[in-house]
Amino acid sequence: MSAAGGPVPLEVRQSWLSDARSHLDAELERVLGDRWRLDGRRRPPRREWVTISDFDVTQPCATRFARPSDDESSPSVTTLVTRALAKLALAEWDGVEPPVRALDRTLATLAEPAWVAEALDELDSAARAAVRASVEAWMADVLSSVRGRSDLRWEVERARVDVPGRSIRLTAACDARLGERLRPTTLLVHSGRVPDEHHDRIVAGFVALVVSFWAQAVPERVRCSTAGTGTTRAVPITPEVLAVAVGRIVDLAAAVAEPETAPLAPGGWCRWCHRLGECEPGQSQLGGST
Amino acid sequence: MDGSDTPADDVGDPSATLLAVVEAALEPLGSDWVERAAAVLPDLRAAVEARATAAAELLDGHGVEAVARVPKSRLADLQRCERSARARYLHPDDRGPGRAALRGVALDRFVLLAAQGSPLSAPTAELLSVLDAQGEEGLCDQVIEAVAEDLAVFDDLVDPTEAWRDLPDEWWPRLQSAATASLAGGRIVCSGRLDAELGGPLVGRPGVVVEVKSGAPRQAHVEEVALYALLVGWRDGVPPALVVRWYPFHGAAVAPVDAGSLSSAAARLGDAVETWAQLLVGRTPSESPGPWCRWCPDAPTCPSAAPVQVSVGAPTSAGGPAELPEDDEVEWEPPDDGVGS
Ligand code: SF4
Ligand code: SF4
Repeated sequence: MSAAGGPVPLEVRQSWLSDARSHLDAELERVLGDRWRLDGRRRPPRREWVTISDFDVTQPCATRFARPSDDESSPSVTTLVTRALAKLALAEWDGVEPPVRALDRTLATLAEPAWVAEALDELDSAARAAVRASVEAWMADVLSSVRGRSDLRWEVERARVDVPGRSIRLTAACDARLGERLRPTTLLVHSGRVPDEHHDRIVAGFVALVVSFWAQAVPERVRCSTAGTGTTRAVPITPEVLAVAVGRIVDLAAAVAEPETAPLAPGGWCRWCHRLGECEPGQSQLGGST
Repeated sequence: MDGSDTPADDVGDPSATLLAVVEAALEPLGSDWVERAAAVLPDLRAAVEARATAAAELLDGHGVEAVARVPKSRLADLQRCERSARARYLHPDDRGPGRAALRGVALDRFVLLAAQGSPLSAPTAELLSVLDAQGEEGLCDQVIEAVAEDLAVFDDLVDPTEAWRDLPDEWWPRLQSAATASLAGGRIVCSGRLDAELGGPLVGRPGVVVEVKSGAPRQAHVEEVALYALLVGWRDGVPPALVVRWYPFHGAAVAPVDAGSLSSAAARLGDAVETWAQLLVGRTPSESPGPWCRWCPDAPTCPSAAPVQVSVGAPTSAGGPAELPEDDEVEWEPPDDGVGS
């Protein structure tokens, strides 16, 4: 919303986007210098890139991000395909029929994305049933959040952006949008995490930045919804919200560059941190909790 | 209130299909039934919000910053014994489910397969396939271990799930859907995963919440489904018309949702939110011994612990499996939601 209460004009939102990109460039230059700079002669392999996701930016502890676990287990097939398959089905849904029929049609003709089709091809009937049940639960959940509206454009793939001149990739899940791809007005992000206003603000700014990195303007708002709540919460996209997202990206990039000095943020989440065994602040946090 | 009562008189015919049970129960309800029950939802929300806000203020005053979670399992724990609820929070049991809970896991997945129209011809293999697809490697190991000890450990659970086949698309059966109340600006969260839902506003039919229980009927299950009706009502703006507790060997117990059941669920939730906040900031918990002492982490040191009674193994009157006085449920949710308490 503008100061006068109406929508912010497109040209203003365009300027916010270019300011946020310049701000990100300048801040990365400050904390990284030549590290992770693409010099044009050699493109490093993907495993050497820094990848920052919408999940990462909401994690409070930069040290945990900078020192990831060596044995990250691979996600289950339901975790892998549920969201994409549900959105393919919702894109197929006519808004009137029982949504499960749209899923039936989607599964009957599924060829793209190939990674989803291939994952399903390998499954026996019981595993396929498990995937279907998970997809239906996701569809019902997101539909209850948006009160069954059928005019959303569902985005199946994660948005991915490579920061210009750096081997840094930003990835974000935006589930749906209103408006044209290059000029979205509203983005929807649906998640299974606990509702949290502070997280919403960070995620909204990050998703808006990533999704519209090559677009012409940032969206007017990002709506965040949480599993089981049946509601969405709007975060208006402003220069301040974008700056929070840029700040988180820069903090995490700096932490990866210098993990020894990365800040620790002990809290209840330490309970599940792979570094807990060697992290004194984490241990005393849990030792001292009620 | 405890887990040992057995209100078995309200269950129905074990051979009836779920759809037949639901349709028969809906018939006598007037067309304005759901609207009348829905009318109390805003006031109940306001009352629970006020108590949750006070609880959040209490947490603030003691520097407890994380979101406080009062999921269904904690609510049930608190109703049994405060000290045990706190102990289970501080020392989560990572040993995996016992045998009764594992049968609950198997039953949930057999229901999934039946509701999805998938064959159940080699139940153990199909159960393992579902668990593997869901990333439940630990449960797969437990199932393999259980079957190695007793080849037929899950067999009796398969046939009853035929009641779940052929549910029409118009009722859109959904499994493991979420219902969450975010209270006090997100500081207090009460969440549940419903075993199954049918109908509801998304398909323009009366909503039905179904809980699948592998053990015998208990009073605690009645309170559980009432809580789910409340959470679904807040989520959808209208409560379900019916709550159903489905038992493979006892049939389905069906109850219409009304203002009374929603109000008591809201009162119990408000009590639990207050109690949990008090315990988080250090109030000494009360001790309430009962059959649940058997699986309480504090039992070795608790002066009130009930003496262990060896009563495992007696077959139920319905001819079902041996009844184990143990939790028969394992949450599907991962423990890590990244928010601490
Ligand atoms: S234990 Fe806690 S403080 Fe330590 S690295 Fe992990 S999350 Fe950070
Ligand atoms: S042993 Fe029994 S009375 Fe004591 S804390 Fe545990 S459940 Fe409560």
